[in-house]
Formats: sequence, C-alpha cells, structure tokens
Amino acid sequence: MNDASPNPEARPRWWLPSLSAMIWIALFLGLSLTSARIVLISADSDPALHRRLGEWMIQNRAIVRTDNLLHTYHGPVVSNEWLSEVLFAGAGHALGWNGSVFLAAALIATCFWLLHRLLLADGTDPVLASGLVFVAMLACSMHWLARPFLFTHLLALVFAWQLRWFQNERVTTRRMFLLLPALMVLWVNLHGAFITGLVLIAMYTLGSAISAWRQSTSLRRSKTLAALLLVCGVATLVNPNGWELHVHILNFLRSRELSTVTTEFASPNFHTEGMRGFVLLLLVMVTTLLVARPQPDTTDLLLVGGWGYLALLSARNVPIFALVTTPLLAQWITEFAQAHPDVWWMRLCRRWTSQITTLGRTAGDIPIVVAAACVLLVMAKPAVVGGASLLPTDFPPSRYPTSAVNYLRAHPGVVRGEMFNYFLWGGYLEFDFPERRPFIDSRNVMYGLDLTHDFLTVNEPKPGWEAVFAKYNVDWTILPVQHPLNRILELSPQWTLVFSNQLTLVFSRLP
Amino acid sequence: MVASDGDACMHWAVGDYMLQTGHIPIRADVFSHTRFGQPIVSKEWLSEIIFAMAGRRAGLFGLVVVAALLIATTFALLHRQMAQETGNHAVAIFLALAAACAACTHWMARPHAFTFLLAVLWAGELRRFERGGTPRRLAICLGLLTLLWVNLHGGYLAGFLTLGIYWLGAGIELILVRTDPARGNGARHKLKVLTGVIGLCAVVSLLNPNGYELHVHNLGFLDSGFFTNWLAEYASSDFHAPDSRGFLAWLALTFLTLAIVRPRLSPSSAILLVVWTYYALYSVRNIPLLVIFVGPILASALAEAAPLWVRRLSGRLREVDETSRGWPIVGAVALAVVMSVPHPTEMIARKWPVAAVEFIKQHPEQFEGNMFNQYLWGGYLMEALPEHRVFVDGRTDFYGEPLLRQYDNTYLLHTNWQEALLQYHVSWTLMPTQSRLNLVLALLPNWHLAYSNDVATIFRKEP
Repeated sequence: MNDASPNPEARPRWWLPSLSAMIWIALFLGLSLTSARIVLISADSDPALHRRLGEWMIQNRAIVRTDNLLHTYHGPVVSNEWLSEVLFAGAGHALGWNGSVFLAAALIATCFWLLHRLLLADGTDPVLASGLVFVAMLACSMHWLARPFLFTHLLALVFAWQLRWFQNERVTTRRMFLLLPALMVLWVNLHGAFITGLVLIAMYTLGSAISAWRQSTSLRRSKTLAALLLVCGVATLVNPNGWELHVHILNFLRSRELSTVTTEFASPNFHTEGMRGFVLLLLVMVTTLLVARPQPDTTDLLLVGGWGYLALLSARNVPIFALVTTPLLAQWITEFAQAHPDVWWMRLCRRWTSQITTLGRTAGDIPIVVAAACVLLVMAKPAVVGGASLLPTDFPPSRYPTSAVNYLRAHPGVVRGEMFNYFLWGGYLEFDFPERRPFIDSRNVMYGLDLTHDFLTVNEPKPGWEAVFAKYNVDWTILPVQHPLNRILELSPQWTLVFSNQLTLVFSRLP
Repeated sequence: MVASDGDACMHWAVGDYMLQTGHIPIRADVFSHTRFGQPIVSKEWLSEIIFAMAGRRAGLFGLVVVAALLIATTFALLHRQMAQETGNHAVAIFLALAAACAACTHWMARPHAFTFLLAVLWAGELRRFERGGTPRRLAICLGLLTLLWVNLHGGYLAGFLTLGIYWLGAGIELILVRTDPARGNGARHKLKVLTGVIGLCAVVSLLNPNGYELHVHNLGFLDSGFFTNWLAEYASSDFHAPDSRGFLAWLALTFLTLAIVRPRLSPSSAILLVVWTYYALYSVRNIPLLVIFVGPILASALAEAAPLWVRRLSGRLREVDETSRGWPIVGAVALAVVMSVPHPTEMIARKWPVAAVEFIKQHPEQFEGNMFNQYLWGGYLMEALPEHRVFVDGRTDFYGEPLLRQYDNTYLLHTNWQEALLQYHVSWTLMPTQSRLNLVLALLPNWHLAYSNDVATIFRKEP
C-alpha cells in the first residue's frame, strides 16, 4: 500500500514523534492534564479502595489475607490484584492521586501506542491504522479508570498480538513458551481477569485444530498451542492464593446473581453515550463484512464471535473485544484495498500516507519519554519544591461526601456504633475515612450473596431493613440526599439528622 | 401475553369505553384523576376497539386469541415470503423459527401485534417491487397498509423508516451504476417510484383522527430521551436473561452469514440490516421488527449457499407442501386446542392486586377520593376497578414527562415525595407490598394501613 520509496538520506530527528508516539503523547497528556484525570480516579470509588489495600500491604509488607476494611465482613480475602494495588499505592505514595493518574494514563496510552505499532507492523496503511485505533479508543474509553483492569487491557493486547503472529509464523515457538508464561505469572498477580489470556490461547488452539481438520493438514500447531495453554495454566498457580484464586474467580463467574448485581458485568446499555464507541466499532465491523467481504478463518470467527458474545454479555468485555478485533479489521480492510487499488478513498488514503511516511521515516518514540518526564515533573512539584500542586487532583465534593467526612472527623462524638453507607462511596470512605469502617464496598466477589442481600434490603429499602440494622449494629448512615432510606429516617423518632449539605445526609440513632 | 404488564388491560378498557359511549375515537381522558378531561392523541383507537370486541366476547382469553392470531399469521406470512423468494423451504422454515425465537420476548396482547403483521406485509411488497413488481401494486398496497397502520398503532413509523431506506438504497444504486446507462435508467425509475410512494403514503398517513398531529406526537415521543430511558421495553437487551437467547442466536446467525456465506447485498438490504440491527440492540421492542425486515435478506443469502443436502431436504418439503391441503386440518386442530385449554379469566393473583381490588369493591365506603397506584398496575386497575380513576397507567405519552417525574419522586421517595400526594389530593394508595412508599406512609400519623397481603398493600389517609 505504501508506494513511497525509502529515502536513505533522511536523517533521524529525535524530537519528532512518530504517529504511534503522537497517539501515546496525545492520550497521555489528555488524560493526565485535563479534567479527565478526575474521572480516572473518581468515576467510581474503586481506585480509592485499591489504593487503600495497596497501602496496607506496603505498610505491613504482607498480602491481605483477611478483611479489615468492612465492619460487616471479617472472613478470608483472596487477593487477586495485589501487585497492581501495590503499584497504584506506590504511585499514590509518591505523587498523591496524581500518581494513580500518571500510572493509569501511561497504561492506557501504552496500550494504544502498542496497538498502533502492531497494525503498522502488520502492513496496515498508517492513516487506516490511526483511524482504527481511534475507533478502538472510543470503544474502550468508557472503561478508563485508575483500576487494575488496565493491566488486563495491555496484557490481553500483547497476548492477542503474539498469538496472531505465531499463527502467521512470525514468532517462534520458543519465544511463545518463554514470553507468554512469564507474562501470565505477572498477569495472575496483577488482575483477576488473567483468564482472558487463557481464553485467547484456547480460541487459537481450537481455531487451529478446526482449520487443520478441515484442510486435512498437520495438527502440529494446535498441539503446540494446547501445550502453551497447559504451561500458561500452570503459570497461573504462581500467585499468593494458588489454585484457590481460580476457584474464587470461577465461583463468581458462575454465580449469575453476583455478576448481575455488579453494574459493570451488566450487558451494554446502548442508550448511554459511553456505548457510542462500541456502536461505531460494530458499525465498522459490519460494514467491513458487507463491503470488503473478507474470508475470515476459523480462529478469526472464534475471536470475533466469542469476544462479541462476551462484550454483549458484559460491558466490561467491550475493551477486550475492541483490542482483539481491531487487527482483524485492519487486515480485512487492507486486503480489500489491495484488491481494489483504484477506489477513490484508497487513492486519498495513499496521498496522505505518502506525506506521513516521508515525515515518519525521520521520527521516533523518544518524545514519549520527554512527555512523560515533563508531566512527572509537574506532578512532583509539591514533593520536590513544596507548595500547592499544579494539578490538584482529588475526589470531587460534588460527587463524594468530603464535607461530611471532614465534619465527622472534627466531631467524632456525633455518631457512634457502625455505619451504613452508599454503595458507590464504600471505597472512598475506606480511603479517606479509615477510622470508621463502612458497611459495604464493591468487593461483592469477596463477601458474597448474604451480605449483598442484606445490603439490598436496606438500600431498596424493603420491609426488614430494621432487622438488618440490628444484625450489624448499625447506628448511623451516610447517604446521598435523594436516597429513599433518608425519607424513612426523617420520619422515624429514633433517628436524628446530624449533618446535611446539598449532597449528603448523615443520620444517627438516638441513644 | 396479557399479564406481562398492565397495557393489555389498559387498551381493552379504552376500547371498551369507545364501544360503550360511541366516542370513537376517544378525545379526552376519563380514566385518570391526574389528567382527567385532558385531550388525547388516540394513536391506537382501531386496535383498541378490536381488542375490546374480543374482550367482550371472551374476556382476557379473547385478547390472547386476537394477539395469537396476529403473531401466528405474521410468522406464517414471513415463512411463506421467504419460501417463495428463495425457493428453499428448509431455509425458510429454519429462519422463520429463528425469527420467532428471537421475537418472542415481545409477544403481548397489545396493539403492537398489528405492527408485526403490517410490517411483514409492508416489507413483502417492497421486496416484490425490488424484484420487478409493478409501481401500481406497490402504491396501492402501501397506501392501504398506511391507512390501516396509522389507525392501528404508532409503529407505522417503522414502515416509513424502511421505505426511506429503500429510497436511500435506490439513490446509492443510482450513483454506483452511473457509468452503465441501462442499469442507471432502472435505478432512476426505481428512485422515482419510491419517491412517489413516499409522497402518497405521507398523504394517506394524514387520514387518522388526529391528522398531522399524530406524527408530531409520535416523533416527539421517540425523540424524548426521558421516555426511552424510562420505559422498560425501550431498554437494551439484558443478555444475562434466558429470554434474550433467541436474539443472541439471531445475532450469531447474522454474523456467521456475513462472514462465511459472504453475500453480495444490495445497498437497501445492507442498510436495512445495519439500521435494524442497531435499533434491536438499542431497544428490546425492536427485535421483532429486525427479524421481520432482515429475515428474508438472510434467507436469500443462506439459500444461495445451501449445501446439497439442504436443497434435497427443501425439495422434499416443497413436495409435501404442494401436495398437502392442510389448512382445514390445522385450523380444526387449532380451534380444538383453543376451545379445550383453560381460558384465563383473571390476571395472575400472585403478581397482580386481584385480592386487593376485591377488598376495595367490598368496602367502597373506605375508598373515597383519589388513588396513588403503581405505574405497572394502572392498566389493570382501569379494567378491574373502573369506579376509581387511576393516578397513572401505561399511556406514558399522554401523561407526559412532568407527571411521570412527579410519580417517580413519590414512588422512589425523593425529597419532594409528598408533593404529588398533596397536589392531586391523594387519599389512598395501592402499591406492591415491597414498595418503599409503604414504609414511609406507615410512619405518618394521618395514614393507616387498610389492607395488605403478599402482593399489594393499601394505605388510607384520615379525612
């Protein structure tokens, strides 16, 4: 597709970013310097929860084995994200919330920089590659939060990339056996969705076996992949919980009730703006199938069909679908373009491409380091030279009960006993108000259905809510103003309002 | 089919009122105390009368029979169209069954069942024209269907959208074949005919009791983010739920057809597939329309690529079909089943406030003044308790956003939850026993529990 001949006299200019580097820099700066950084840490309160857990582990130099954050649960904890929690806490320790922003923005930017590099390495036109990466970014953006699953996005891309190249005989078996199990050891300690890697290998194994069976060729490749799956499966045992981690995750995935009460496991809601990127990606996919009429092999069908199904099942799988299928889309469109060189939009693409390629030959990735270093310096200003941060980053008082927490800290006597809290504030309270333990946070995988049901009885609220309060000795509540329980407590003679502002009401039971 | 929500009863009650009073169509509300006397855009008056006539004849079972006839006829016609167009009976049967499995989530005894039938006829005529049908037939058929549709159900907009897609497809075809004069003339002719038919249908669509206001009303409703987010049937599919498996299978079938069979679709077919798949993902209630409009497109693709054994099977099925004269037997069996199965006469008591309604009827002196009821129960109460006007029912477009927000404030216990109760002088409530509203009413000194069972609870305000 690129018919511009290389110019051997072109001198490299270290300051000029390549297209891939431009994507990294634009994403990284966009996420870390704009108001998007607030969204990264506060779209839900899980970044606070993970940072709190990580801080505990750093302080105690131990993995969390039993829960000490909730007053309602004192059972065992299967730490399936301990390494990423430690990394986020380490970054937070050095730079405050900007540390979490820096790490998350770097992970997101690296993921799409890598995707762009992969598409270019596959021979995709730079303009087309950039367009497809943009679509993939839109599809993934609804899940950009400073949380451990960002590691899963990056590692899923690396796995999909290596497996694809192995299928195309671009990487050796030895490299696969050295790289993927090592990455799997890392993955299993970074995030519970490490199973994504095993699913990807299984899809390639099955696809390869079906293709070999249909074409009556050797099963050598599928046997190699099956062995790789086994080795990676064994590698997943290298974690602080051993096989119990797998039992824990499978129990969660099998429990329809548990997975349906977790919003991000719900099916995509196509009414929301966050799903527009996914719709656009599906539109590109269907249009490509209709116009380019590619001939996908069995593995491609399994990847698109399988991850498409999982994305429709749970919105949190949409980014994996985008990262896995974008290289396939690029391949199909590229093949179509090569077969139809005179299509008008291909001619336009080629014209732009030749200009970009001329510049691109002299460009590199060094500006990434420069951009990261500059942002790091800005973020580190309070730690290095003191004073206020140039990038104030914290949980916004318009969405989190920061004033209520300050009041309760200043007046500890106004509430006694245990707390009932709003679900989405659990992680925030654990981080910002550690002297009081919340009723609930987002770890329903850990505490299970009984506590979830008890919480829902009060949260609805339904008849029986008082019994739940008695069971857990709840004597005060911290809830958004519009929460229905507040209406009951307002009318109840046993309860009194001790704090109120535009966001939060705090009720306390009278002695 | 009648107990999934209260709308079947609501349409029956509205139709019954029109039959009783002769006010056809209904012009002002008589069922609610919140919007009593306010003008109504009656967009489904004809289907409401048909359902009411069936209801008068056989109660709830009559409603079920009408809806079942409409749905069965829709899928029988869809099958026949696909069999005739592809010549492959096996593929037609397979796709008709797949379509029925996907669409069954929205099989209810409500006016939209007429839209299913009219959509299949509408799409059939458009495809017939694409395959060389006469403009005259297209104009007459679509004109007549428009006349029926605008008086039966607001879903006629789906027909206009599809007609618009065919028009757009013809326009794209004209651009694509501009270098070929013969094909260009054909595409130009098609575009002219479709433009004329759109104009004709637009004029005919004004032949309804509300004239152009019907279109303004319906488009305003669809444009409102509030309504499409508020109503459960406008929500996207929950693919965790078992009843979405049919739709999931349909999506898988579409993907595999495109990826493996690799059909060369006309522009209009391609746009239909993309647009209706998107609408079905956007909203559960569009799934039946997706399978009706896109089913024949997939059938053609699959029939072309069918392996030899499928063609042989199809041949045998065709022979059986041509030699059989099974309609009388099928009809007789269906009639026997209809006559012999137990007929539902009441809504399911474990889901609907049947006992509570009975209590209210037995103690009329206790229930004076205005009621506050659960939204989903509104239609049922219109039919079962006509002596009391409801607070709200399934006619969301009639009640409008401000009233529904007020209802939400009370139902969800927002800070101003008492506002609607005071404004509309509510003196008793009929809510599900698990409702949070009951919990606060129990704490108010001037409200008392009047009745409660596992399903419904009634609170009464002291005068």
